[in-house]
Amino acid sequence: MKELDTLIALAVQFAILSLFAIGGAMAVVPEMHRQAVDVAHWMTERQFADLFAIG
Amino acid sequence: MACWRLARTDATTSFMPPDLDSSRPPHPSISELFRAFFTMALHGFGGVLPWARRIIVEEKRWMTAEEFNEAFAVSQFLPGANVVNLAVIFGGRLHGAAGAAVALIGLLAPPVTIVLVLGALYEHYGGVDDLQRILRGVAAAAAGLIVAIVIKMAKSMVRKLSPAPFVALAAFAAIGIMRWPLPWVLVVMAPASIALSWWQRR
Repeated sequence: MKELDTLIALAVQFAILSLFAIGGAMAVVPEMHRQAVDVAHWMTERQFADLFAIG
Repeated sequence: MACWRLARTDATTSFMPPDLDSSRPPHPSISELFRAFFTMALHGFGGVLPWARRIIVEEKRWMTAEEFNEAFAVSQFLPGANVVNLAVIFGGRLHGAAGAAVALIGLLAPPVTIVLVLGALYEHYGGVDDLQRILRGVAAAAAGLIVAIVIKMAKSMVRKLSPAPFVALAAFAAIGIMRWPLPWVLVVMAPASIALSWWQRR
Protein backbone atom coordinates (compact mmCIF):
# COMPACT_ATOMS: atom_id res chain seq x y z
CA MET A 1 0.00 0.00 0.00
CA LYS A 2 2.85 2.34 0.85
CA GLU A 3 4.33 1.54 -2.55
CA LEU A 4 1.14 2.67 -4.25
CA ASP A 5 1.07 5.88 -2.21
CA THR A 6 4.59 6.68 -3.35
CA LEU A 7 3.67 6.03 -6.98
CA ILE A 8 0.64 8.30 -6.76
CA ALA A 9 2.69 11.02 -5.06
CA LEU A 10 5.29 10.72 -7.83
CA ALA A 11 2.67 11.02 -10.56
CA VAL A 12 1.04 14.04 -8.91
CA GLN A 13 4.37 15.79 -8.33
CA PHE A 14 5.52 15.34 -11.92
CA ALA A 15 2.15 16.35 -13.33
CA ILE A 16 2.49 19.61 -11.39
CA LEU A 17 6.09 19.99 -12.58
CA SER A 18 5.10 19.60 -16.21
CA LEU A 19 2.55 22.40 -15.83
CA PHE A 20 5.36 24.71 -14.75
CA ALA A 21 7.78 23.62 -17.46
CA ILE A 22 6.87 26.53 -19.71
CA GLY A 23 9.80 27.24 -22.00
CA GLY A 24 11.73 24.07 -21.23
CA ALA A 25 12.20 21.09 -18.94
CA MET A 26 15.55 22.33 -17.58
CA ALA A 27 13.72 24.99 -15.58
CA VAL A 28 12.08 22.39 -13.35
CA VAL A 29 15.20 20.41 -12.44
CA PRO A 30 15.79 22.44 -9.22
CA GLU A 31 12.18 21.83 -8.18
CA MET A 32 12.56 18.13 -9.00
CA HIS A 33 15.64 18.07 -6.79
CA ARG A 34 13.86 19.86 -3.97
CA GLN A 35 10.96 17.42 -4.08
CA ALA A 36 12.91 14.20 -4.58
CA VAL A 37 15.82 14.89 -2.23
CA ASP A 38 14.77 17.49 0.34
CA VAL A 39 11.04 16.96 0.80
CA ALA A 40 10.06 13.38 -0.05
CA HIS A 41 13.51 11.76 0.47
CA TRP A 42 12.99 9.56 -2.58
CA MET A 43 16.72 9.61 -3.27
CA THR A 44 19.99 10.95 -1.93
CA GLU A 45 21.87 13.97 -3.21
CA ARG A 46 24.37 11.62 -4.87
CA GLN A 47 21.71 9.50 -6.59
CA PHE A 48 20.08 12.62 -7.99
CA ALA A 49 23.37 13.83 -9.43
CA ASP A 50 24.05 10.36 -10.89
CA LEU A 51 20.64 10.15 -12.54
CA PHE A 52 20.94 13.72 -13.81
CA ALA A 53 24.20 12.66 -15.46
CA ILE A 54 22.54 9.59 -17.04
CA GLY A 55 19.53 11.51 -18.29
CA MET B 1 5.61 7.30 -50.61
CA ALA B 2 8.33 7.20 -53.21
CA CYS B 3 5.98 6.79 -56.11
CA TRP B 4 3.69 9.50 -54.79
CA ARG B 5 6.65 11.84 -54.73
CA LEU B 6 7.58 10.92 -58.29
CA ALA B 7 4.07 11.64 -59.52
CA ARG B 8 4.09 14.94 -57.71
CA THR B 9 7.37 15.99 -59.29
CA ASP B 10 6.04 15.12 -62.71
CA ALA B 11 2.90 17.12 -62.17
CA THR B 12 4.86 20.12 -60.96
CA THR B 13 7.24 20.17 -63.87
CA SER B 14 4.65 19.49 -66.56
CA PHE B 15 1.53 21.50 -65.96
CA MET B 16 0.89 22.50 -62.34
CA PRO B 17 1.95 25.89 -61.04
CA PRO B 18 4.34 25.29 -58.12
CA ASP B 19 2.56 27.54 -55.62
CA LEU B 20 -0.75 25.74 -56.09
CA ASP B 21 1.08 22.47 -55.54
CA SER B 22 2.74 23.58 -52.30
CA SER B 23 -0.55 24.87 -50.90
CA ARG B 24 -1.89 21.33 -50.95
CA PRO B 25 0.05 19.44 -48.27
CA PRO B 26 0.17 15.64 -48.48
CA HIS B 27 -1.73 13.65 -45.90
CA PRO B 28 0.41 11.04 -44.13
CA SER B 29 -1.18 7.85 -42.84
CA ILE B 30 -1.25 7.02 -39.13
CA SER B 31 1.62 4.55 -39.45
CA GLU B 32 3.71 7.06 -41.39
CA LEU B 33 3.08 9.54 -38.62
CA PHE B 34 4.27 7.05 -36.01
CA ARG B 35 7.40 6.17 -37.98
CA ALA B 36 8.30 9.81 -38.53
CA PHE B 37 8.14 10.69 -34.83
CA PHE B 38 9.90 7.46 -33.84
CA THR B 39 12.75 8.33 -36.22
CA MET B 40 12.96 11.86 -34.82
CA ALA B 41 13.24 10.57 -31.28
CA LEU B 42 15.99 8.10 -32.27
CA HIS B 43 18.06 10.79 -33.99
CA GLY B 44 17.42 13.57 -31.56
CA PHE B 45 19.85 13.01 -28.71
CA GLY B 46 20.16 16.34 -26.94
CA GLY B 47 17.42 17.97 -29.00
CA VAL B 48 14.65 16.65 -31.20
CA LEU B 49 13.56 20.01 -32.58
CA PRO B 50 16.09 20.31 -35.45
CA TRP B 51 15.14 16.79 -36.52
CA ALA B 52 11.43 17.50 -36.23
CA ARG B 53 11.85 20.48 -38.56
CA ARG B 54 14.01 18.53 -40.95
CA ILE B 55 11.65 15.57 -41.24
CA ILE B 56 8.31 17.42 -41.16
CA VAL B 57 9.24 20.42 -43.30
CA GLU B 58 12.15 19.40 -45.52
CA GLU B 59 11.90 15.65 -46.01
CA LYS B 60 8.18 14.87 -45.88
CA ARG B 61 6.85 18.36 -46.61
CA TRP B 62 3.88 17.82 -44.33
CA MET B 63 4.10 21.45 -43.26
CA THR B 64 5.56 24.62 -44.68
CA ALA B 65 8.26 26.38 -42.67
CA GLU B 66 5.72 29.02 -41.60
CA GLU B 67 3.19 26.45 -40.43
CA PHE B 68 5.91 24.67 -38.49
CA ASN B 69 7.04 27.89 -36.79
CA GLU B 70 3.49 28.70 -35.89
CA ALA B 71 2.83 25.25 -34.41
CA PHE B 72 6.11 25.45 -32.51
CA ALA B 73 5.27 28.88 -31.12
CA VAL B 74 2.05 27.45 -29.72
CA SER B 75 3.99 24.49 -28.24
CA GLN B 76 6.41 26.83 -26.53
CA PHE B 77 3.66 28.84 -25.01
CA LEU B 78 1.85 25.79 -23.63
CA PRO B 79 3.13 24.07 -20.48
CA GLY B 80 5.13 20.88 -20.85
CA ALA B 81 8.05 19.86 -23.05
CA ASN B 82 7.96 21.78 -26.35
CA VAL B 83 8.53 18.90 -28.74
CA VAL B 84 5.97 16.75 -26.94
CA ASN B 85 3.41 19.53 -27.39
CA LEU B 86 4.40 19.84 -31.02
CA ALA B 87 3.82 16.11 -31.58
CA VAL B 88 0.35 16.31 -30.02
CA ILE B 89 -0.61 19.41 -32.03
CA PHE B 90 0.72 18.04 -35.30
CA GLY B 91 -0.69 14.54 -34.87
CA GLY B 92 -4.01 15.96 -33.76
CA ARG B 93 -4.23 18.24 -36.76
CA LEU B 94 -3.78 15.33 -39.16
CA HIS B 95 -5.73 12.51 -37.51
CA GLY B 96 -7.50 13.88 -34.45
CA ALA B 97 -7.06 12.17 -31.09
CA ALA B 98 -5.63 8.99 -32.65
CA GLY B 99 -3.04 10.99 -34.56
CA ALA B 100 -2.02 12.88 -31.43
CA ALA B 101 -1.67 9.64 -29.47
CA VAL B 102 0.36 7.93 -32.20
CA ALA B 103 2.75 10.87 -32.65
CA LEU B 104 3.20 11.11 -28.88
CA ILE B 105 3.90 7.39 -28.43
CA GLY B 106 6.27 7.41 -31.40
CA LEU B 107 8.17 10.35 -29.95
CA LEU B 108 8.36 9.00 -26.40
CA ALA B 109 8.88 5.26 -26.94
CA PRO B 110 12.63 5.34 -27.82
CA PRO B 111 13.84 7.67 -25.03
CA VAL B 112 11.58 6.06 -22.41
CA THR B 113 12.93 2.62 -23.30
CA ILE B 114 16.53 3.81 -23.27
CA VAL B 115 16.17 5.65 -19.97
CA LEU B 116 14.41 2.67 -18.35
CA VAL B 117 17.25 0.38 -19.42
CA LEU B 118 19.86 2.84 -18.15
CA GLY B 119 17.94 3.22 -14.89
CA ALA B 120 17.84 -0.55 -14.43
CA LEU B 121 21.58 -0.75 -15.13
CA TYR B 122 22.19 2.02 -12.59
CA GLU B 123 20.13 0.10 -10.05
CA HIS B 124 22.44 -2.91 -10.49
CA TYR B 125 25.82 -1.33 -11.05
CA GLY B 126 25.37 2.12 -9.50
CA GLY B 127 27.58 1.19 -6.58
CA VAL B 128 30.58 0.17 -8.71
CA ASP B 129 33.50 2.54 -8.05
CA ASP B 130 34.51 3.13 -11.66
CA LEU B 131 30.95 3.91 -12.71
CA GLN B 132 30.64 6.31 -9.78
CA ARG B 133 33.70 8.19 -11.02
CA ILE B 134 32.38 8.32 -14.58
CA LEU B 135 28.99 9.60 -13.47
CA ARG B 136 30.61 12.21 -11.27
CA GLY B 137 32.48 13.47 -14.32
CA VAL B 138 29.40 13.51 -16.54
CA ALA B 139 27.36 15.32 -13.89
CA ALA B 140 30.08 17.94 -13.56
CA ALA B 141 30.11 18.42 -17.34
CA ALA B 142 26.32 18.73 -17.44
CA ALA B 143 26.41 21.32 -14.65
CA GLY B 144 29.11 23.18 -16.59
CA LEU B 145 26.91 23.27 -19.69
CA ILE B 146 24.09 24.81 -17.68
CA VAL B 147 26.44 27.45 -16.25
CA ALA B 148 27.58 28.23 -19.81
CA ILE B 149 23.97 28.74 -20.95
CA VAL B 150 23.32 30.99 -17.96
CA ILE B 151 26.35 33.15 -18.80
CA LYS B 152 25.27 33.42 -22.44
CA MET B 153 21.75 34.48 -21.47
CA ALA B 154 23.02 36.86 -18.79
CA LYS B 155 25.27 38.65 -21.30
CA SER B 156 22.38 39.57 -23.56
CA MET B 157 20.34 40.72 -20.57
CA VAL B 158 22.99 43.03 -19.17
CA ARG B 159 23.69 44.73 -22.49
CA LYS B 160 20.44 46.65 -22.51
CA LEU B 161 19.23 48.40 -19.40
CA SER B 162 16.24 46.49 -18.03
CA PRO B 163 14.87 44.95 -14.86
CA ALA B 164 15.75 41.49 -16.22
CA PRO B 165 18.98 41.00 -14.21
CA PHE B 166 17.14 41.80 -10.99
CA VAL B 167 14.36 39.36 -11.83
CA ALA B 168 17.01 36.72 -12.57
CA LEU B 169 18.81 37.39 -9.28
CA ALA B 170 15.56 37.32 -7.32
CA ALA B 171 14.59 34.00 -8.93
CA PHE B 172 18.02 32.58 -8.13
CA ALA B 173 17.79 33.70 -4.51
CA ALA B 174 14.28 32.26 -4.11
CA ILE B 175 15.01 28.87 -5.72
CA GLY B 176 18.74 28.38 -5.20
CA ILE B 177 19.26 29.90 -1.75
CA MET B 178 15.88 29.97 -0.01
CA ARG B 179 14.79 26.72 -1.69
CA TRP B 180 11.21 27.87 -1.95
CA PRO B 181 8.77 25.74 -3.99
CA LEU B 182 8.80 26.64 -7.70
CA PRO B 183 5.00 27.08 -8.11
CA TRP B 184 4.86 29.81 -5.45
CA VAL B 185 7.94 31.54 -6.77
CA LEU B 186 6.42 31.55 -10.26
CA VAL B 187 3.04 32.79 -9.07
CA VAL B 188 4.74 35.81 -7.49
CA MET B 189 7.53 36.45 -9.97
CA ALA B 190 5.75 35.98 -13.30
CA PRO B 191 3.22 38.80 -12.79
CA ALA B 192 5.90 40.95 -11.15
CA SER B 193 8.29 40.61 -14.07
CA ILE B 194 5.53 41.21 -16.63
CA ALA B 195 4.50 44.35 -14.72
CA LEU B 196 8.12 45.52 -14.55
CA SER B 197 8.73 45.17 -18.27
CA TRP B 198 5.39 46.81 -19.08
CA TRP B 199 6.23 49.71 -16.78
CA GLN B 200 9.69 50.04 -18.30
CA ARG B 201 8.36 50.11 -21.85
CA ARG B 202 6.02 53.00 -21.21
